[in-house]
Amino acid sequence: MNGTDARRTCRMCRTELGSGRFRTDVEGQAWCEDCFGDLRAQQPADEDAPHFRCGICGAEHAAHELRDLAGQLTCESCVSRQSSPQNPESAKDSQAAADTNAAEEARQIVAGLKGQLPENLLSKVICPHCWLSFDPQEVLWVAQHAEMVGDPVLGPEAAARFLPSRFNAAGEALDGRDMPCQILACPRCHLTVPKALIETPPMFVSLIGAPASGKSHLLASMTWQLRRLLSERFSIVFNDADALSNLSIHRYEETLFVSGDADRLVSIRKTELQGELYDQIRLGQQIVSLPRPFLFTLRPQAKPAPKSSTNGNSTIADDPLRVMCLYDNAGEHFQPGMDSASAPGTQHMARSKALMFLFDPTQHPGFREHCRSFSADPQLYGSARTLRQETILTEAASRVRRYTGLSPQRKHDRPLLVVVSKADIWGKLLDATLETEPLLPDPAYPGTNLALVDVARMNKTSAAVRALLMKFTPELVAAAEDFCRTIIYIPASALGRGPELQEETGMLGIRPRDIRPKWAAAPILYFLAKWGGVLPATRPPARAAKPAVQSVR
Amino acid sequence: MSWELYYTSANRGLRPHSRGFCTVARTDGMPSAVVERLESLSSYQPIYPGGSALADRNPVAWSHWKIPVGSRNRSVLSRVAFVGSDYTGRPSKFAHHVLLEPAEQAQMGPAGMMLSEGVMRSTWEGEPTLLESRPLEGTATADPPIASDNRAWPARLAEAFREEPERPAYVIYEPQIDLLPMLNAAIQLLPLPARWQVTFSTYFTDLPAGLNCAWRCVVAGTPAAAAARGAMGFLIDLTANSHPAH
Repeated sequence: MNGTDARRTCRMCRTELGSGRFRTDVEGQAWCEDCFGDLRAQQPADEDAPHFRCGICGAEHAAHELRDLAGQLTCESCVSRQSSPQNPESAKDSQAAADTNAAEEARQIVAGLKGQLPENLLSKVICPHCWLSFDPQEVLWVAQHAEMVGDPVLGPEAAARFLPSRFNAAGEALDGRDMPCQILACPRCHLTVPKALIETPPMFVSLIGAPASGKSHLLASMTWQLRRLLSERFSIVFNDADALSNLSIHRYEETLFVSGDADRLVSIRKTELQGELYDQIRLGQQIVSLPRPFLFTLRPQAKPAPKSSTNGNSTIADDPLRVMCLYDNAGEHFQPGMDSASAPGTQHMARSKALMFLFDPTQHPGFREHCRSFSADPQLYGSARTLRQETILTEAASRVRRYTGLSPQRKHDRPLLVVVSKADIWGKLLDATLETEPLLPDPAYPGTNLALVDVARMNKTSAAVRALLMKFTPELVAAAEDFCRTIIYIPASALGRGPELQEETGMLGIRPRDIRPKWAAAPILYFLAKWGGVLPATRPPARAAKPAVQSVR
Repeated sequence: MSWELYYTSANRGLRPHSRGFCTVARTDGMPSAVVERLESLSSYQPIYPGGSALADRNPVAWSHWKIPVGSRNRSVLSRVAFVGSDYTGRPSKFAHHVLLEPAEQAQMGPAGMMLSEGVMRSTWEGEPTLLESRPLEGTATADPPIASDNRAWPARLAEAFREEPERPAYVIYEPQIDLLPMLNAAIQLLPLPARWQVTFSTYFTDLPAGLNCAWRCVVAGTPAAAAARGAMGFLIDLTANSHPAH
């Protein structure tokens, strides 16, 4: 497991250490066990003698000041903190309780060895990075000890991944240096898998769109809005399932909404096809680049008592935790010819519970020309910004068909949300207002802030948007309705107004104080209400007849 | 003959239907696997956002990588840098990669070759195109002046490489310093056969899968600098105004 061991030599005797046991000083130099033993025997140590870190508190000490506890160097203060109870009586009690817990845990583990999977575990786990479906017992653990580095898939500098055979009483796997481990990893791509995904199937939602259509801005506004709206209006905490994985979306949100100088022009930089939004792994001889997922948990909280309740107490939140997984692919990934074995970055579309296609009217020649008659938005000017966006949707459709084996005769049975972006520019063409979010007070909770998703209003708006698209870009509507059985058209404005052109640099930016998103979270609210089973919604009126295509017109 | 690839954000790329970040020019006949590998080396994270007054001080990532091509490892000289706004009004970057034949590897080493006139390009203008192979030669140029503060550590870097070539060395620096001349000075202190063994990046953020990077110059205050301080490598911190930390 230790890829760097083979070339490591002892600092003192220069013996090649191979896979043998060794210690590493704070300078990163390795010491064989014999030389380390000699070093510890030097009391007091030389002034320039190397220092080593305590495996518990991380403090640096001379070798003779550290003890070896179960293979881990531990300083005296950590040893005494762990071994000397302040109150002997309470220590006795806590020891007894610990023994009882350990016995109970042992019973459960033994029972688990013979029986079914624990109820809280899924029978199949889906990796959010490479979309492998695997059994939970196949999950790897990430070694925690600083010396346990080297992984055949992630490279010689990554922490080692291993299938554990030893656990501590807390159920944590022990790595080769007896360090308890908590982080899990996929058995194929070796990238980390949040524990929530072992117990909850993720709702994958794919965002598709052309380069410069505003995907990153929409995602940032969407997640920022969801953090607030879901908590205030639905009593659901929308949080990061993995803060490290969500680092980029945090940066997006901070750029737009938590800027130190609200008057300074800001923008989210163009999404790259390499770098921080991707993980590169090695599968055999192939280097594969996988998009980093943005993972969020939706945790229902207790709600006030409903109108029908007589006791007036809060209801208990018994809805399960849900996990939502979003991706910010560069628009270039959706271009024809960009799906390859080394960059399979859009294969999440096959796993998605819903597909969101972002249509940017400012890149459509007809729409753009029409909007110029009443808008001075800089995105409408300049000659190089037009693109046939239906080709992106057609390419997405053919990839989904390819990944899922869907017959060309059949339509995809997952919903498609066609999000028409930059509605601050073209919204006046629509016979609908976007000034208020599509929410209504929940009649079950009068006098509270709790809400329903106004599905009826969104359906009506969808029909208006579809009519507008039919006027300007019928080819897009045709491509959408040829692909999916269920389609909704949703207008959205991630920023609520157009960007400003910075004359000296030619760049577009927006002042954070001017940002007022409109319907940025609406696509996800609709999805969670209509298909996610997470949010309450208004009931749609009964329909007289079923349309040929179930697009919401 | 060398292979070259130019990668940036453009309204139209060389590949049909491509726009945005894409290859705008490359040597004719380059295998698609090599094209994909070079494109994957084009990552760039600006320190200062586009549009800010400091955007021009974003560091240039000069790198020497060794990538497998067929059964051999071949040297790639890369220059990736921030280049103002693209056709959509958003900050962009420009990457130029040169994959060398062993016979083209000048004795001065990779940094010296990148400093040579006409080897690396900093901009691309024009229509997407296939390029003819061109002969590349490292030509000795006047050594750029090196500030007195920075004259000592290249020797330490070279010494560290001579002693343990497999052990990465980190240089933490402020982004306004151009480290390529210093790395070149360090390489000149190595014996000729070792000069092309040194892989490096003057703006290292993350190790590309399957590659090595012996000298990793990381900008102070970035996650890469924090990782460097905790890594098991030789460390030179130019921001602490002190030479080797250990």
